Amino acid sequence: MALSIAAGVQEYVQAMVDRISGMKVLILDEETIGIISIVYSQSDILKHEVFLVERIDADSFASQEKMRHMNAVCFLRPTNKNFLKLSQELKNPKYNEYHLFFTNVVPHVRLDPLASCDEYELVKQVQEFFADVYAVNHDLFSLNLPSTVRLTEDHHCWSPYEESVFERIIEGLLATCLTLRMLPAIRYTGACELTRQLAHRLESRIHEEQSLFEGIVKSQQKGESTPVLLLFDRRNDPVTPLLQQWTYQAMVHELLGMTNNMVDLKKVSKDINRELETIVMSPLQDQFFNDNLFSNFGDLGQNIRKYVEKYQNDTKNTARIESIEEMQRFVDEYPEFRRLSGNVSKHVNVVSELSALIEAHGLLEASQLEQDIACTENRQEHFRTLVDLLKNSKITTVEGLRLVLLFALRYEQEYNSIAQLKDQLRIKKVGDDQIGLIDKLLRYAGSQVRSSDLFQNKSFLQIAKSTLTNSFKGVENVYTQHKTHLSTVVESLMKGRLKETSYPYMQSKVSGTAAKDPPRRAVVFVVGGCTYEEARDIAELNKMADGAFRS
Amino acid sequence: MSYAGQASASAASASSRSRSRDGDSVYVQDSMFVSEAVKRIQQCTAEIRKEANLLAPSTSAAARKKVEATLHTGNQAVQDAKRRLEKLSYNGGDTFGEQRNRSLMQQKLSENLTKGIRDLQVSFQVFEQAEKRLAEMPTTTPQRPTEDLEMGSLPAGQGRLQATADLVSEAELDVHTAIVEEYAQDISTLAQDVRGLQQAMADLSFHTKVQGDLLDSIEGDFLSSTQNTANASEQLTQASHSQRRGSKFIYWLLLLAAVLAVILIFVVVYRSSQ
Repeated sequence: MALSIAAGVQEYVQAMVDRISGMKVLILDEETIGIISIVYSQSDILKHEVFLVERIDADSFASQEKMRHMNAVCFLRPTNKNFLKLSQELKNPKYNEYHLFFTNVVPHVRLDPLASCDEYELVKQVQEFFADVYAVNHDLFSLNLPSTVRLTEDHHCWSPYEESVFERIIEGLLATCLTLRMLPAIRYTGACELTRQLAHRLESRIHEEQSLFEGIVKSQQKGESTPVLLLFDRRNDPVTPLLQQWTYQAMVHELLGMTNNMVDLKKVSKDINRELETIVMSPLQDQFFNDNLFSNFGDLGQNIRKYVEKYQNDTKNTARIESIEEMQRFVDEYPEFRRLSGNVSKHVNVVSELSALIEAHGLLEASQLEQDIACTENRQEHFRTLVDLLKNSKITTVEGLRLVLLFALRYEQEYNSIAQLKDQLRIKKVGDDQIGLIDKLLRYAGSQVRSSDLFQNKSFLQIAKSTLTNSFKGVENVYTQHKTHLSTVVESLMKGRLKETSYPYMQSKVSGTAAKDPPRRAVVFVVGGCTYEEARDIAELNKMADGAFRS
Repeated sequence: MSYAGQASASAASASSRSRSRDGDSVYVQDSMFVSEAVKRIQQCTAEIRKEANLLAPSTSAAARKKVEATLHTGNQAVQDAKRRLEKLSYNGGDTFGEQRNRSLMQQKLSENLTKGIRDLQVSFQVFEQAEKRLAEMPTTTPQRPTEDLEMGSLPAGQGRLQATADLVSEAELDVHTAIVEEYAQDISTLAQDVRGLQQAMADLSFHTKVQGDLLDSIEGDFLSSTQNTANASEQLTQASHSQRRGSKFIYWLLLLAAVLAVILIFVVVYRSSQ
């Protein structure tokens, strides 16, 4: 089976809407609406006779009129709030039938009160469909958690919010394993207490729900090596999120802002065409975007030009309508032509906005120095260039702060240089709260926290190795020379060379001691959030290994 | 893919219970049956009309038999439809709107059925009249109308036949000319329509080019509809406020006018009393 998280979620949604015939209303919550809309478009869902989408937590939901001719398909997360809303709805039903699909394991104690609220006996089925993550790409998923920074603090200091975030991670990972049909051996970052706790709790949950894994265990025992779920700590690589990205998807996310594949162009440009104010950039629905997800900005420009040329050719063909046959052809090709027309306008607009932002923020200059700081050791040169750039008003304060953060991470012991850079930031009118982030970052992910040699400068051997590599190999592109630490870790994992001392196994009660063979399939979860650069590296590794990893 | 974690015991039992129906399916079946019956009646009517048109002395007996059978079928359909239509009225809907829809539906079906019955009766009467006309006609071989023309001026024999043939050819020519003219007119209209269609296609193509990409996201659509609803609600609130303000202003004006009127009356009365 292909290891695509997006395909898995799509399959669940399809099975859900296909099972119920007739006119349907889809009832979602604040999370499932994002989970569905990221893999299914409005027109796709309409093809399955879903004529209405409602949110159970919307204020207007309870007061809406009754529609007894429609069947309700409820796709909800099993949360307290949703059960409460569902109970209220069942007591005063608006629809003909109710089909309940929960995105995760539903405790039995929850179902009894729900059944007692179903006075009209309208609930036709209750199912668990484990589509509980946001499938961004085929090999990238997210839990859309705002921040996990406070989870790194001592467990006793956690508030109920942190507890809920922790549980959400566990539920997301459990659902991912079930969607991808795998019972994994769990490995975690040895130096990170949080990943160890997560691994331990997840293992317990798998043990509690082992009946769900019975079929998977049987299919896995047919000679396949045990898949691995690697819990990677973000603090091991704080550099990657600080680098300016030059691939299409990453740039759209970084510069324009992308939420559940939706981009709000109003925020960046006031004079945008009304129809293009909010656009969808989904690799699952847009072939051009899918083809260029990981194209760098230069290649993207070329590909956009070709795309526009193709569109111009098509326009010429459609403009020539002189006979009945040509009219017939036009009518047949009209939907595709319309889609192409909209898509070309969308991408041209996005790329021109990106280009304007790069120019306005001086990102080319900043990015070159960012990459240099991330990849090479040259303190004096870096300091001088950075001061020059900070004095230059072309780069924005955010870019300046980001460069100083990178400098501080690499040259953590250079207190004087860092203090001078902070002064420069103050001159640039950067607020004290933002300057305070430098110390916070060093506390969060400084060298005392990191277990890996991120900059390859901790041992003489590593320094020699990186110097030799840089001198002999050269740099293909100064803006994309950085290679993520995650890709190195995953490469070692798939080759069976990842050290157990750094990434130990969690003892499994369900599958016993995991075989230590190189895995064929692996899921990597970055605690603290992953980046599109890491997604690109995993996609490249996947391409080489024919679909083995997910992050 | 098989789905782990099937329904729990309590809710699964709820799912297996069947829900009491409100007679929807019976209502739909009945209304469909009446529509089908009306169709059958219309078919019978058409069949009888066809037989009336093709009626000839040699086939009149067979045609009579066929028409009677068709009429019988038609009458049966009428009876069935009437029965179902009466039954239909007893299946009331749950809500007022549904009941109104059903009443309108019943009315429509009833009208169709009445029209069908009338057409069936008229067609049978037409057949009977055609039959009567056929019976009244002399038993000689039917002749073409052109052969009955008054040809007194022409010599008898070959000359009379020749004149008849010429007249026939002339009439045929007229008919063909009319057909050709009509055909030419049709072609001209078609060409005009094609030109119009071509223009429409060119316009469509132009509009396609200027149109942008539409938002095709479930979440986006939901957010925009929520936003629109919120905006509409805000507008309504504003309208309500301004209306209330306007009403208040009018009330104050009226009060002021009343006070002024009272003062005026008081002053007039006071002055007149002085």
